Amino acid sequence: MTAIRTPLLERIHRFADELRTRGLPISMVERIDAMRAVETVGLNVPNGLHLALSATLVKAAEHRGVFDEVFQLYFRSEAGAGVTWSDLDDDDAEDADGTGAAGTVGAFGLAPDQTPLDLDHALRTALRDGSEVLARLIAEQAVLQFSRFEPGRPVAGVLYESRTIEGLRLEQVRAEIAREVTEGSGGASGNGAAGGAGGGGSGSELGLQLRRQEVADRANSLRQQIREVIREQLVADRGLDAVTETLRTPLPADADISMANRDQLAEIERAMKPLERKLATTMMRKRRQRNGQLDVRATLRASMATGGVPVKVLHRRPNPTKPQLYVLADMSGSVATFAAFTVTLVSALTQLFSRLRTFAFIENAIELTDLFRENEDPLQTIRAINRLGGPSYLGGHTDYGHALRQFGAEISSELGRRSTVLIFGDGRGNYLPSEEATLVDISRRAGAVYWLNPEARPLWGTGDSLMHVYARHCTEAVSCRTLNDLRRFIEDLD
Amino acid sequence: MTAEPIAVDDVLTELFSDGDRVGKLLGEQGYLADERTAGIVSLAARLGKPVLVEGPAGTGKTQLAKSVAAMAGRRLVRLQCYEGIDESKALYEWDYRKQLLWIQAARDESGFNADAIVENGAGIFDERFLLSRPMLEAIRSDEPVVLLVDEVDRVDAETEALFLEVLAEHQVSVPELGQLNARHIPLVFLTSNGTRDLSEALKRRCLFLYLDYPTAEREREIVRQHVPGLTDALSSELVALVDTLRRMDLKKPPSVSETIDFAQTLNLLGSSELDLSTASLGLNILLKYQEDIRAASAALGRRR
Repeated sequence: MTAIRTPLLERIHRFADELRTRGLPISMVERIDAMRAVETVGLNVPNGLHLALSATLVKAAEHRGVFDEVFQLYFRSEAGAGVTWSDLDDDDAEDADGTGAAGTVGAFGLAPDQTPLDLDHALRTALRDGSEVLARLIAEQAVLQFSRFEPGRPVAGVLYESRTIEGLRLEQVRAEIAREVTEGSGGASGNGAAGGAGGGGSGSELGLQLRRQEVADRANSLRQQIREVIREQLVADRGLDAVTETLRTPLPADADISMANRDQLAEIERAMKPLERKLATTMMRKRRQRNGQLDVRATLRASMATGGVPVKVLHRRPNPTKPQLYVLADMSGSVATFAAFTVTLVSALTQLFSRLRTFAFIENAIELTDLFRENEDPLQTIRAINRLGGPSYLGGHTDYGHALRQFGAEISSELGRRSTVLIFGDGRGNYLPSEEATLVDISRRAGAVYWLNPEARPLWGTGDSLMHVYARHCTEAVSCRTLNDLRRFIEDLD
Repeated sequence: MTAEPIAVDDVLTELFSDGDRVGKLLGEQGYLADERTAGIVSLAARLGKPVLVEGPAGTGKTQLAKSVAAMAGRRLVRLQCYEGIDESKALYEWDYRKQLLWIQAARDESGFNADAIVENGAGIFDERFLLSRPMLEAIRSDEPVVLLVDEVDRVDAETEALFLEVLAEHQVSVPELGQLNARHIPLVFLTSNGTRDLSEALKRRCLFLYLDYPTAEREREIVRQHVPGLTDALSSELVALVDTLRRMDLKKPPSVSETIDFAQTLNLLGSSELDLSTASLGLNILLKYQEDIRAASAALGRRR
């Protein structure tokens, strides 16, 4: 074991603080474990620091992305700028603050007198053969040449990235190389190189396709390298703390669902899986009978303590009652991203509840229960809804009043104490009548009415929003902008 | 009663002294671990902490525990979790039949005192009547063992709490007997498919290892090891195909074991290259749902 010196120790603490700020659950226990792990692994093991910290500080798969990003900032960016984290562990290391230190070192690992690469040629070679080292060199030089870096500006570097990629003509070159590889004319050139193994010499269609995939992967990894180089430069320019602040991307659970891009949505979907089950179990738990069947085995076992006399009678856990679930979902354009999220959630509920009816609406409420049952995959469901004619099938302009009346007419005779109604939508009704009375009626008959709204609460009732009217008649109306909002809602149901 | 921390034994420390070494030893057992996996196993053994292994199905989570047991020359004690498992299946249970028999047999003896049994259970709450279930067995066994708690995400949250005492303090409290301390600290692996969020308390006690699908390079090695007869070129194509499939949005992406199955099939058929017809045969081996097969062959055909 090696004792860790103070600068590194402090850096690890600040690193843990930053992870906490971003929402990772890190307690004192984890910090102590992290220190012990770093000591145990030792500092001369390659990647040892990353290994020790990630094993102790990250406890969920969806947190790995944020961890790696912050780790790169705290322990690698300065390495790229000439300071390595083992320097931090030296006796005479500079203050752990790091801000001052990094600024003084040259902005890049690339020494000024190094002969510049012929970028175009190098890029082609890298995409053909896939050399990591070459990719890094290209990234460094391309950023230097194309990013038109402006010192002191508090940016996240997205612009620099796109300038660099454009300057490098990455997309065009990738397409050219892909074509070259596919046509197989000079195909042999990249063969046999380290790890470059799209398929030894086979000219089959499949082999070609796989090689194309490989080229695309290399282009992506180069993009990643470019992003890292830019981050390193940002850190060198403005200091660790400032950059960390600008770069703070939210965890999937905190990302605004309505604003999410495709990658984020995929992550949100992944992070949602455990929540769906939780929602289902919570709902089943809602009404529970006192006692279930007599458990003979358990009673006999307990009777041993009293000499064979069954003093304590034990029962099995009662079967939870199955709730009836009714879902009404707004599918209009104003909530398009949220609608995708709704479909995912409802798909999951459909798998878990046998007594569930789903209605979707824009203007007309239409029952889609069977459609959800037939398509297990949310994506297929969305496609199926679009095939039905999508918007035109459901009507053109969002009309909450109309939809509620149709929904009510369909279900109100079935509603009872055990039924739960879930409504997803922003409650914006284009200044059409609210049909408040229908919701009052539904609410009176059903056991509970929950409304999940993608808008923040202060916006309710502004403009054409009818939410302030509807919210009064719901058992609970919540603003559901992120997965964590959904989690809180589910936990409050208990 | 305070639990005396038991020193992790020397053999273990020696065996797991660094990640590279663990990686090599696991390799000898036929398990190709990447640098990270080996590093975390080594770290866990030296810190005496359990490892929580998460990841998609078929990436070798269970096999990792088995191989570590084999490599360390220890017995593997396995607890397969399922919904509804309780302490009588996971920790211990009183063998009430034996207790009944004992009472019946003892009744005729002179010293038998029924009152004492009623009052303090004299005689019947004895380790003789305790049935060890995997978790108790793992810490009470005479020789150190490797404990595998498989699919821990399937147990209810209440039961999960019962595991904490064993995982952190290496002890089991039996109300009638008091505390049973560990004779040896077991190496513990918990696997999870991530169907449920495990409690913070459990996660806090574990090191976290995410086992993803292997990189192409490592998967080629795995194929080479299991199916030595396959040419390098073919195994590369095969692995690349599997990789492409995993990137698609499928219900059940192919796991490593399915890659090996396909490699064995190709070897038996004596194929020399992966063309579209062998590839479509492959899809039937690699994928488990008709929908997936349809989607994948459409995608592969289209990009021709």
